[in-house]
Amino acid sequence: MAVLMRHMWCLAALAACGMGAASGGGTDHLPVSGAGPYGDIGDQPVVFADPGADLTSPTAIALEGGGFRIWYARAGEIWRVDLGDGPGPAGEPAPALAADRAWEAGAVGNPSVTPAPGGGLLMVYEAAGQVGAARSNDGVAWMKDAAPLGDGHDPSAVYAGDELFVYVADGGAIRRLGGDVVLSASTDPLAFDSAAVAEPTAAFGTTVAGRRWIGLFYVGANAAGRTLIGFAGSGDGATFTRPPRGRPILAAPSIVSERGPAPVVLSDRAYLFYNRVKSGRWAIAAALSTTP
Amino acid sequence: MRATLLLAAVAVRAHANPVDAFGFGARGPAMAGAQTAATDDGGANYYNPGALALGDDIRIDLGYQIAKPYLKIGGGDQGVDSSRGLALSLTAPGDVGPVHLAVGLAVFLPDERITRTRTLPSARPRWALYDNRPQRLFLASNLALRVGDDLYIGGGIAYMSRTGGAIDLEGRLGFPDPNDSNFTLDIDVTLKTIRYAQAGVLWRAQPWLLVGASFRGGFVLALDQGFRIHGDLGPAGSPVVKDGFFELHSLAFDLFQPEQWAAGFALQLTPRVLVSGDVTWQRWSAYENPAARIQISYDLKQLNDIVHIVAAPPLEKAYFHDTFVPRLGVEWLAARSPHAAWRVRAGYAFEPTPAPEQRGELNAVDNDKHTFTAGFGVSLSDVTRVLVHPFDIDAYVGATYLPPRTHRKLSLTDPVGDYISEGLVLMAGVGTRWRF
Repeated sequence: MAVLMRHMWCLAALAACGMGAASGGGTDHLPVSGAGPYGDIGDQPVVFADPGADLTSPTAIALEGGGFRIWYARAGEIWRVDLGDGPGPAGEPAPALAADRAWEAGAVGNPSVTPAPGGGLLMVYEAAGQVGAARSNDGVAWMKDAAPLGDGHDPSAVYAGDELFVYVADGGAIRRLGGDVVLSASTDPLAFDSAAVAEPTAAFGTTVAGRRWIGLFYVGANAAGRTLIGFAGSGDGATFTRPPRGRPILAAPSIVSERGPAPVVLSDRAYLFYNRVKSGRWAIAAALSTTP
Repeated sequence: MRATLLLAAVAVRAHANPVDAFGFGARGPAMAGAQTAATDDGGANYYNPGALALGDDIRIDLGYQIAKPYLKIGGGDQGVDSSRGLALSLTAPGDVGPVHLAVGLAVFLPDERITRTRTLPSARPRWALYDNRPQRLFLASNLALRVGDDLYIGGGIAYMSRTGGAIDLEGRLGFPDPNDSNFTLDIDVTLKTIRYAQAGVLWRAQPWLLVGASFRGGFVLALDQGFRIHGDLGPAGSPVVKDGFFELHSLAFDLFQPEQWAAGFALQLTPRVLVSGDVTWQRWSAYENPAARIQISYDLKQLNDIVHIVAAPPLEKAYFHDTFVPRLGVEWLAARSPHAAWRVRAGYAFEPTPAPEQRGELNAVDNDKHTFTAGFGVSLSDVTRVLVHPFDIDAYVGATYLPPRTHRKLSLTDPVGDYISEGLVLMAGVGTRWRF
């Protein structure tokens, strides 16, 4: 196996520093919704890379006791790795899911993992243009469903209470699995997502006012082919709206493309794992929500 | 081509002054600020300048006040700075012919900073009335006179300063080598004095009843700054841009203080019990969106086609509204001896928030406020041969409770999202009164 490069980092410490805070008191511990904006953590945004392979389509959850578990696609399989929330070492990467069904045509990818209402985890993934599902109690051993859920690319699943929402990319737009389009390319020709939207990742939450909130992180492409990460919000999971000015939520240098958003929205801060290129390979980077 | 853009949503101001927020002296805050007709110390310089003419002694009040906010937005404590400082006032009465008059001077001198102004992005949540509000100097001077036997009229001015300035660079900006630049620099910054009026009237309607009214003018601190670079861009002799310019003008506002009209009474219910009440109207509707305006103008000649600065949308209105603030205070002469008189004080004030629920991009957060105060004072007589007149020591503690308030955002893509604001502000102070 290729030697993995791993940057140890201290998310908690950086979060405590209050990115974007002003001098003087009065701006500590400000709330964020998770809708962005996000900023890279330090000057080394890539937190996990493999010189021998592209690591794409990360999906992440927060671990009890700190840290994150990330699943990602690597060479036709789905792998997982634990990243620390402190200066200690992260866990070793390990295979999580491989193609072993005829309909999967020898490769699986584009995983999306979400907590299930009764406990455990649900993973949806893509194989041969179809969406498969697998379930796990510990995030390590997975039991696949017998049949695919339907057709689609880049699936993402999230539970809103007991209701499951699965979104897929389809022809430059994002639609609910087996349903209508919920987000199309921007009609603004100057927008970062004027050409296509893809790679949806849904997040669910309930605000302190008791309102249901479904966020859709996605990758937008412009006519030049540059990809950046955007966000749209919804109260019902069927109609999504962009922020008023429709900007990307992570400001990257002009030569960088971003893909594969994997948000982890906590009560007081939000992290965004995503793909960016390091040394010619897609690697996993991390960003932290910033105070507006 | 010449382009002029108006950018907004850059900076936010905060409001008023520490005396508005926490009172002045040690007796007034102990009675929750119900002092328009009840003030009898140096606090008259703030509560009712007319009351300065009440006494015949030269008086010096010296004290120390502190207030510590514990305010939360979204469950996290914002670490709002405390306000603490020296409260000093001087009252000098005298007679000019048949006219009895007095001059007064009051200053609240913060011991952390004279004044803080800062600009924050408009979307960043902040406690609008506690951010910069307590972080400034308060300085006022007044003149009062007695008309007849029972009427006292006073007025004066309070001071602040504003800044205005510009930085001009004239010459050539080297490109691609910036070290090849050749500029002359002109900096022009001015601190201008701002004065706002205050006045008061006090009438002894009955031997046991004083009624009063006072006015405090509104105030806002303007921070007016400009930057202009004018000249050529490129190598000497063959500039890419000749005679171009880029100009940025920033106008920020800070330390807003609403115009205030107060009316009150002081009722001597019994020889031992004084009850006072106030109602203050505060013109918060004059409060505009606290974001600063930045105006950018440029003319880069042939580069104008490739330089595109996106204009920000119009500022969201703040929609603050006027408020009426009721206050109630009581003072009880608990004990008296030939050399000492002990008084116990208490008060309550309700300050409805002028700020609406924050549903848009702007996050100028504020809540209703319930203030409970208590204090005591001892007046010592004939203690030493040096102090012929009574010498007073006063102290108070207080708490302002801000009950939870939910802010529901109109947009589900708002970067802050829904949140609850709540908190507590603790106050304490001690003062001494010297008569000569």
